Amino acid sequence: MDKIVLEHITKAYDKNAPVIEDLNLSIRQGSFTVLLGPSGCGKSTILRMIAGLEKETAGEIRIDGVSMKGVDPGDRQIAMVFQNYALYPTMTVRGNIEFGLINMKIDKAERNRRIEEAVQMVGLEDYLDRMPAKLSGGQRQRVALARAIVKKPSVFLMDEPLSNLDSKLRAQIRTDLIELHRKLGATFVYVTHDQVEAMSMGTDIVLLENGQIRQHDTPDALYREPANVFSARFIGTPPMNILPIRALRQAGMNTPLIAMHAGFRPEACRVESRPTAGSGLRLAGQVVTRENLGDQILYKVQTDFGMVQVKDFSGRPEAYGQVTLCVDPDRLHFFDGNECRLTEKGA
Amino acid sequence: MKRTVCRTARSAVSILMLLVFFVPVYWMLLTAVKTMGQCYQTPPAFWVSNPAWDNFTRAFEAIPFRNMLKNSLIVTAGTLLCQCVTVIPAAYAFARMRFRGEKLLFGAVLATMMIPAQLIFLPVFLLFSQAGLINSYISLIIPHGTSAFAIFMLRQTFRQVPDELLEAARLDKAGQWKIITRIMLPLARPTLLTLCLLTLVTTWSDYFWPFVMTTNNDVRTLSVGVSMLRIVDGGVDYPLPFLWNRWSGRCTG
Repeated sequence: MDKIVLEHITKAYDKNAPVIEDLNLSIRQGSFTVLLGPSGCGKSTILRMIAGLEKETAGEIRIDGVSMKGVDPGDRQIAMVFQNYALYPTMTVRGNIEFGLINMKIDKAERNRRIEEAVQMVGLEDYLDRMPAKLSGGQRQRVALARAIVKKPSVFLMDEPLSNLDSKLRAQIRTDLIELHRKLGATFVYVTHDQVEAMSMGTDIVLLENGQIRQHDTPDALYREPANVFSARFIGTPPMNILPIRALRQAGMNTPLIAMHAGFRPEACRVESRPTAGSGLRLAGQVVTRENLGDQILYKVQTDFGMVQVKDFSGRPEAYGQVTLCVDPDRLHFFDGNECRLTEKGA
Repeated sequence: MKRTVCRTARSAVSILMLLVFFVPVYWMLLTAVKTMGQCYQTPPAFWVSNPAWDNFTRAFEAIPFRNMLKNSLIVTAGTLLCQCVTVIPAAYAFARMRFRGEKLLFGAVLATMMIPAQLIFLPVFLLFSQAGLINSYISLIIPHGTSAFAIFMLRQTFRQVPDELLEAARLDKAGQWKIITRIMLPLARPTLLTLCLLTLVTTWSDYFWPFVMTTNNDVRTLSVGVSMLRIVDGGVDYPLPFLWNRWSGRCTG
């Protein structure tokens, strides 16, 4: 069932050209939907329109089938977590968490019960009487989470909540969020530009570019079956290698007639110092850089058709110099002139 | 050696500064208990062995002290309250709301700061006298019921509050009133206190306006009372004004 539906949404700031034009999006009930895209793609704007903080220029937003036109942010059964926490600096942790409940006119006993439950969930039991200024970044973000949890909303909106935290804390809160989502069973809508966050937490990913949805899929599908070159390049570190189709045709491979580009993931390729016989694509190149990460080795190889990045799990570092890249033909993707992926395979 | 010299010098300067600030205050208090003769005495006396306490009794009797004190309190409190009621919503609106003519209106508010009171007191006086409001608290409070400077200061403070905070509050179902009282004002407390203090001091010690707007002692404040002390005896009764200056807050000491 669809929890949130956006229909023909257009958003323009003042009289400028619209940042989002005729956007249609359905967010599944109970999903952890990640709005992913480079900065300026309109993902935050979409989130803020769902929250009611930004008014849509045209179109309709429905939550649980009810139109949100003219409904105040406070009445939408939603809670939001901001990038910079947005804690009320003059209130204690308890005051921050309680503020929304008081405004919802919930009685004291119920408030205390809910606060207790929420702080236990985020592990802040001992900090209720602290001021936000006396907390670390991670603790502040937990207060912001608790503040959202106590309201028992059916939708959680999160606007890059991890980007102000250091990488270790980020990884930790990422798993906390997955746990929280499973425990609460609410719908999460999460905005980020970090594809690792999107892939690791999301059950659904909406990939956006310039206010348009490029792909709306599960993380797995997004990775294995990117709908277009943009998706292929955005997901994965390093991103998918995209070569002009003539690279394959020169190698004498069968390719779909309308294919213009071919792509393969860095891990779909091996680096060999000596040319070996076998089927599939062989590319000659020069190793430019080699990064040994222990469990994997990253290569940047300059070929006649551009730079190719390779992720090698063999554990044997190849020397700098001339190498041959062997690409697994089953893991090749083909894209047409509009950069859309072709489902038909060549080879 | 060098350090000792340094320390001594610093102490000496400190003591000198203390004297500079302390002597006028001491002189004021001393004069209050001097007789007329002692005031004009040369060389001046730095100590009086039998203080003339009856100066105070005379001062209390010379002007309606109780009434004037009451008036001062009412006018000051009234002005303060009135300014809070007008300044806070105005500053919030100018800081946080977009409306038609906002810039023009704010410009007009700022422009009023450039008009000195001495320039407009006559028309204001005529206005109040025609409304029959001379000799009333209203005529002393309403003309100072708002402050362009305070609106400006508070607006600047309100503008520094991050947007996310207000958005979070809106999502927490807080209305404008709650946003102002629970989030904006607590954050603006330092500015608010400064503005209150400024208003308090100016209103309490204002002499010009209460004098213009009154024809009898009914609503006159202590600051007017001070000037009356000088006239009561047909001459200048020095010891009393000195003390009164202090009480009515007009002394420079």
